[in-house]
Amino acid sequence: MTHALRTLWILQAPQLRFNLARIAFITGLDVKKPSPGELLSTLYILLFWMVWVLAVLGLAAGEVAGWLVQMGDPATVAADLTAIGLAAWLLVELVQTTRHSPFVFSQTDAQRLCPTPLDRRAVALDRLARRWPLMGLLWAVVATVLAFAVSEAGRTDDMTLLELLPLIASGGRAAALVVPLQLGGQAASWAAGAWRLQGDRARPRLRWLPWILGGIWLTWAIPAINDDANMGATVATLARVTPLWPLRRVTAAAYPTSDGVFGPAGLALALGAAVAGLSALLWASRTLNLARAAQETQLKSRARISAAGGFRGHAHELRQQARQGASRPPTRLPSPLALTGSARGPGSGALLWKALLQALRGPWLNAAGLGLGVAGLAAAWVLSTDLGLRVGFVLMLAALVSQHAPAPLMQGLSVHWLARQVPAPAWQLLWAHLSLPVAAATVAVWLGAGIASAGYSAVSGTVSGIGSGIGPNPIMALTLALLAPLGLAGAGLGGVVDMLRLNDSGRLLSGQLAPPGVLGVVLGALALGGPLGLWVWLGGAPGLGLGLVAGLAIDLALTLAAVVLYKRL
Amino acid sequence: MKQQPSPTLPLAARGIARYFDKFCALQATDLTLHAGEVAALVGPNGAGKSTLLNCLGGLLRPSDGQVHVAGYDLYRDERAARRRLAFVPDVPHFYTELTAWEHLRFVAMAHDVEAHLENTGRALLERLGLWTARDLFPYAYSRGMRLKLGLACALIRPFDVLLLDEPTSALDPESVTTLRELLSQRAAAGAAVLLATHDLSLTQTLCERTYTLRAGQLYGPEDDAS
Repeated sequence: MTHALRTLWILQAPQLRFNLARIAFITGLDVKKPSPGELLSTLYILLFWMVWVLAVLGLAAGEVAGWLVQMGDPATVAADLTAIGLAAWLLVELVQTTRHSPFVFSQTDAQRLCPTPLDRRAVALDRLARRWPLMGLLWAVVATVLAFAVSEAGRTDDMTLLELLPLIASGGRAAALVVPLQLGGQAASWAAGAWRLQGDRARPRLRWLPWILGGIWLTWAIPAINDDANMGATVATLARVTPLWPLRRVTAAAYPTSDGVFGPAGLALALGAAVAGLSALLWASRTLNLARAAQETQLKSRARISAAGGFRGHAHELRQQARQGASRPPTRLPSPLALTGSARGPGSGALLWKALLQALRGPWLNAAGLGLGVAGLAAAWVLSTDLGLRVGFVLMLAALVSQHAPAPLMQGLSVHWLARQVPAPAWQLLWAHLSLPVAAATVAVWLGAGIASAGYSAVSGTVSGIGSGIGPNPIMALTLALLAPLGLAGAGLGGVVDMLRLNDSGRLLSGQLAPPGVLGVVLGALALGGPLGLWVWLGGAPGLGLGLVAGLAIDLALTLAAVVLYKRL
Repeated sequence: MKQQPSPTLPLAARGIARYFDKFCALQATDLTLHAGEVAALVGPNGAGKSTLLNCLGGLLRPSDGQVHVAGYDLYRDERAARRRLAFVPDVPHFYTELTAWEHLRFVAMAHDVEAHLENTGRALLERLGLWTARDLFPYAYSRGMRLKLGLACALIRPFDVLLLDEPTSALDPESVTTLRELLSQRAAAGAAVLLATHDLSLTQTLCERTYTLRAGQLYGPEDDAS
């Protein structure tokens, strides 16, 4: 295995050196010819960043300390939260590693590295060493913030400079204990992934493992949770009255608390967990099938590289391919002609059918996230009483819709040779792709405005202090609901106009379309904010009527502009 | 004002030229195709064959000149012209979310021939050797299979003019024979076919006229292209 590790190091070292040199370059250091002045300035920048990081962590700790005190004894709650967080993270990690290979290989790796007879254990360790540092750093930050918060909670006066060193030491102690635990958990979860990728065996039942473990944890905890208990008691139950208690005993040494193990013993146990996890990984990866791992991860790796290079469309396409697999039974989505029974406008009907099919098979989570964002902004607009805030919410809504609504059209146009052969007028082609995102955004706005309005009415009588800064406004919600379809269509069209302006037939032929830019946001803000502004300005029915007319006029003008730009492509 | 359709000339291009910035990829070119004719477009790499086909197919707007499909201006009477014009590029891309069969259904739907899809679509895919792979997504296809799916998407619908960019570049010999038969059948039914190719055996056995492109200049069968 030593020989294999050395071989892998020969492959990795240039990349690592390049990355370090790049970081050094950012700090103003030329690693090939470092001058004393450059070394001093780099040292200064490093010190500056360390102080900045410390200040930011301290600031975060101040906030967290308040929550910890509310939930109970700060050190005990911190230990509980760390144990629960580690366990929950491990379950999520297991869900992923028991379904998809955690060992990610690029196309070059698949062709050059995977066919070699290198020791599989070394390859597994090499892949873990690439992915672990970021997650380890994240957990180190979490542990440090919690440790700082525990110290902060126990302080009654301002901190002196002399207290800084013990504070840093407490953060370091917590990180030194939590990071090995996290490494052990990650290695163990990767061991499960390696176990799934042995030879040609699929082991599909392994994917139930995280659900079984999570089920046991909750089944144990739920009966012990008292309905009347506060959050602190619930957290304590989840961490201590369950199979999690050994982990909780170790995490208690990080802060430290009276019910935990002695500090050095805790550190030894944490290091033991890391060694155990790594041993499990080494054992499980002896006969790891690298070809299968590469097959599962090549697309993801390519998508990551494309996204990093700014090729969002290509990255989306690759992720979609990874999600879909190779085949699918024919769709049952009926033809629009079968529904209408008419042969009028078959071109646009087909485009709508295609757009709907693509939306149904697209990434649901992204769409749901966008919908939540739109609904949240609509709710904030309804609840806000401050004009400046309302303008800000409209701008954000316009930016969100104008940047994302043109995506289906971009997908449609990226297959230029096929899209161009559809015998539909340009405006129908545009609207067949735009109608679904606009309809979805409209429904999200209606839901957001409705829930905000109804929710406010329900709680305003029972919760004190809610009236300051936000206000109930059923008329506001109703107006937004009425103006939203035209305004959101205008925002989407603004994005489409800008997207078409930025592209030409050369880009269409290559299938790499430029996304909408700032002009799209400006046009979208005008289309969405204009009618709403008219209503705010004039008020009542005349304002609403004029807003509707203005919205319609803006939509027609933008459709015309989009058609002209499309025909010029 | 709309021009009257001219059934005797499925494709008529007058003075079409294409510049990329100051580089002239295609000099002012006239080209006509008659009903039932199969013509070839040959020339070295970079001569402008794909540029000419893209301009004729409406994928690349010419810097100058006009293209008429069955008498309809390709840019002014776009919808009428596109109903009569089919195009297959050398490397066809497809929609990621649609399977091969769904692509065929989409094209059939767009051209209002979905009612015949079950029979003609199946026959076409069987002939091209894609029937068993119909539920695969095209990104899982080989280059040759993608090219054949592109051909199927063109042949499933009615057209007056078919433009093909290097249709045999990734095909096996058996598929080339099938392609030759399919194109002959469509030409016999009255369609005009123009194909850009390096396959001289195909031009000799299938094409009645051969155009040559050299450095953006088109030479007809009677011209001396050397």
